[in-house]
Amino acid sequence: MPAPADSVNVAAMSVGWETSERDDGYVVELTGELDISSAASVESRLMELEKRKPARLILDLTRVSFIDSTGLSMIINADGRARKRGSRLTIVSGEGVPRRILRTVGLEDRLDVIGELPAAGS
Amino acid sequence: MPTGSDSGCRRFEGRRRHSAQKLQEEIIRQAGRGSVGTRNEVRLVAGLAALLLVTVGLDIAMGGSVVLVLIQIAVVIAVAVAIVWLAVGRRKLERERFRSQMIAEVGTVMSGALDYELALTELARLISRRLADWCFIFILEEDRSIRQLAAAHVDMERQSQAWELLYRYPLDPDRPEGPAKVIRTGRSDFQPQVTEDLLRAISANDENLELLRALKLRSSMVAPLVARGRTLGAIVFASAESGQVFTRRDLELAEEVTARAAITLDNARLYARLRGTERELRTSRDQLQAIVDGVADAVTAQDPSGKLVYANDAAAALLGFERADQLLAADLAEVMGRYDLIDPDGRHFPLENLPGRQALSGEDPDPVLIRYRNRATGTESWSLIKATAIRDESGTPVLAINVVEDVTVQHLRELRQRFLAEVGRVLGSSLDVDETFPQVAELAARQLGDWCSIELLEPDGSPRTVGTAHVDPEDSPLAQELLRRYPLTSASYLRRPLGAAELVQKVNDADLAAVARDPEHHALLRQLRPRSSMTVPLIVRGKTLGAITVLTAESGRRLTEDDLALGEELAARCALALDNARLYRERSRIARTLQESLLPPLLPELPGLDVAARFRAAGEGIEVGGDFYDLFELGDAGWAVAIGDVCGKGTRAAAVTALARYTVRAASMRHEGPSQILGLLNEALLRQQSDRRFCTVLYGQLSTNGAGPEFRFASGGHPLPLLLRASGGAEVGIPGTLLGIVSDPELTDSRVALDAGDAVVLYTDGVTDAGAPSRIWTAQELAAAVGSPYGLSAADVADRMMTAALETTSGEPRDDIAIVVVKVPDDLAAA
Repeated sequence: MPAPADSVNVAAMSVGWETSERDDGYVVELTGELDISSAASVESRLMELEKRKPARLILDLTRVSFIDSTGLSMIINADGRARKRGSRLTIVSGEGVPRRILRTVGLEDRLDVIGELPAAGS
Repeated sequence: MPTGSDSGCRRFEGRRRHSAQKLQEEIIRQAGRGSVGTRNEVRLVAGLAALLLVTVGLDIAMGGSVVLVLIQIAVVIAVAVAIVWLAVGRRKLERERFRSQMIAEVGTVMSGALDYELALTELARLISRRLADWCFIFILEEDRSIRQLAAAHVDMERQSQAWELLYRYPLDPDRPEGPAKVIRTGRSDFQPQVTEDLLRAISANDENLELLRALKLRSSMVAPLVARGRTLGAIVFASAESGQVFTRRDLELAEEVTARAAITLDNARLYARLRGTERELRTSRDQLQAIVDGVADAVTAQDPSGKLVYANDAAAALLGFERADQLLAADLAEVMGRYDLIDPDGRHFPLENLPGRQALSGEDPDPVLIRYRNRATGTESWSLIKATAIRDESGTPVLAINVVEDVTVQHLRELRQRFLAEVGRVLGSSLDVDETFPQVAELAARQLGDWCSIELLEPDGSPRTVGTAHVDPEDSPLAQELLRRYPLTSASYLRRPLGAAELVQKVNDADLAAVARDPEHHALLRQLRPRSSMTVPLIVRGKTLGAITVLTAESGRRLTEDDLALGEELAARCALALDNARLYRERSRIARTLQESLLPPLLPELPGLDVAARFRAAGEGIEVGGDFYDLFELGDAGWAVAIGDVCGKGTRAAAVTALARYTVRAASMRHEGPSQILGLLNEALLRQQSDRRFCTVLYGQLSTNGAGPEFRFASGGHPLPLLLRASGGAEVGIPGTLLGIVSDPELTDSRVALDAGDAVVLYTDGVTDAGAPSRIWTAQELAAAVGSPYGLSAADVADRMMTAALETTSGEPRDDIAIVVVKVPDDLAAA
């Protein structure tokens, strides 16, 4: 099953989107700013990906430079959908801004947040 | 003459069926060869000689006088000589006559046929009838090859035999002997006796040689066709069955005939070429004429004096003539004088800069775009003019060809598009019509007419001029005076509830009088000498709110229906901008009101504490933000302070903000700890299912016990407060979970005791993220930026925070910024 075309629509977003497939699902690597101008398109693309019912979706935010409340909302909503589906949403926060923001809003322990991208299958 | 009468007779006999004319030709031919006359003369002389001998012999035999005999002999000789002399003279005369006749006939033949090839074929036949048994004509082609053009023999059957030979063996120009040599050298070849060696020399191979032998050539002459020093070919005269042996005299005649033919051939060729060239010329000229006449572009040609020598119909039409010849007959200077020439920047365009004049002066001009304004009618057209010089051999321009493309339609369309785009840009640059409309008026004055003013109706119904412009106010003190004192739009027009666009193509004094507000105004307007005017209403939501008036004067332009259409489009855009500005004002008022409703209008005074708050909306403030703060009394328990940030913006976020603010207020009445208050807010947000909005809130309680002020607080996912002290500042407290997402948020109470001079700073992430993502403040950095709170008021601290946040942004902060500062006076005892 091919991954969705990565370049499509990305140009219109202030955030970069990169998908790779793993045994248990997909890794989505975002770059740039996850804010009011990009959150909606990221969310709709995530929902497209979720239609394939992956057991696990890994949202890699290591290279995200900023997350505003809309971006947070998007992450929370994705987590909510994953729980409802019985699958798993993992956030790779890195050590920068995303981690600090997730900590500030108290989501670091509420969501499946990890520091680094896990090895395949882990 | 070796030709026997027998052969002549046989030939004569064999041609009995020939016509009388042919017969006569035969006689002439025989005469030309000197056969008939000479033969008779010889017989006569021979007869006389015989008679003389017989007489002398008889006289001697009869013993007569020797003297008498001698006299008799002398008489007989004299008679004989006379006879011979007469005969020779007659022959000469006949030959001369034949020659003249031959040349005349050659002339007739050569000039009679329509083309020279046919003429030469005819000539060959003439020669074969009169001068030789065979005649071959060879032509030197332009590619230096030799073409056998004609072969003639009186006997058609034999003629085809010759053709076969000629076709089968085209003459090699390099053949050492024969016609090839003659063409090469330009000199005649005379072969009284055609030898086997000659045949070999001119034949290509054995078969060719056989065919040549079959022609039974006896004697031959080859004369070059030479004209104007150039060899054009050669004519071969050959005898065969007649047994004729050519003499030098025959050669002379042959050369003469050939020379005559050469001249005719040359002329024919020249003429043919001339006719061809002429035909081509005529064709190309006709084609050119047809093309040039037919093109929509105006085409003219000017001679070096600048005079028009050619113009097509489009050129005539462009300059107001019905036909091209009328234009050519007109005085060009006078014609051009009817127009104002204006360059694309609106400046006068000097005639000498026209490309045609430049081309004639030897330059290679670039195309120019010119506006022609007819001085009499005021109508304008745009032309793209290109010119090319036609030069003579020395490179001197002899003609300038001008191609004038009428680009009025395209150009006006383009100008209008550009104008409207420019208007759009100006209107989009600000919502303040007092700022944008004057610029719009300037653009309109440049595009449409010399004057433009925009009047708006004030709410009380009085007109107000918001924008007014003259195309060149510096040049016109009158313009400045007029614009300063009077609106252009008439007051009565503005009084109409719903105005219609008005166009006055030719303004008269009555129009001016109607517009004038007083006699002085009327006088000023008269001085202006307006030509055309138009007024278009600014209609917003079915009501005239103003008008745009355009007036042309010194430019002499006459406004057209097209201009009116453009004016209406301009008015529509201005009206939209007007409406937008009103809507925007309305909306920002509502947003401000709503935002204010979410913030305390005035901070209460807290006993023994200094408090200050700052709020700054991101962007233009037309969206209600999600930031809020509150400060209120908790009865005996002290004071509550809250700061929060609801996800998103706009009315839905504002609704959640209101919910959060009032829930916190209501919950606070239960006298519970900060984490419980936030827990209640969390439940309230979760119950509110319509929107999955979360918020972050920092809630704290300020109380004073015996030991001094104390701050108890909890964070629901909100940035922790900064505690600023003389010793340094830091974040305090324990992070919690944002509210409205999970049912069991982690919310932990913290407590700090405040000392004299301490400041607690509560803020939203708009402070840290104002310059995100290039610059995101950490709490430590913010604390360091404010520094020691000693000696500062709460307001000072808040301002320092705000300044720090804003200096990291290049423009507007990214998000709303809210700051609340609670400061313990430096001297606590004094408070």
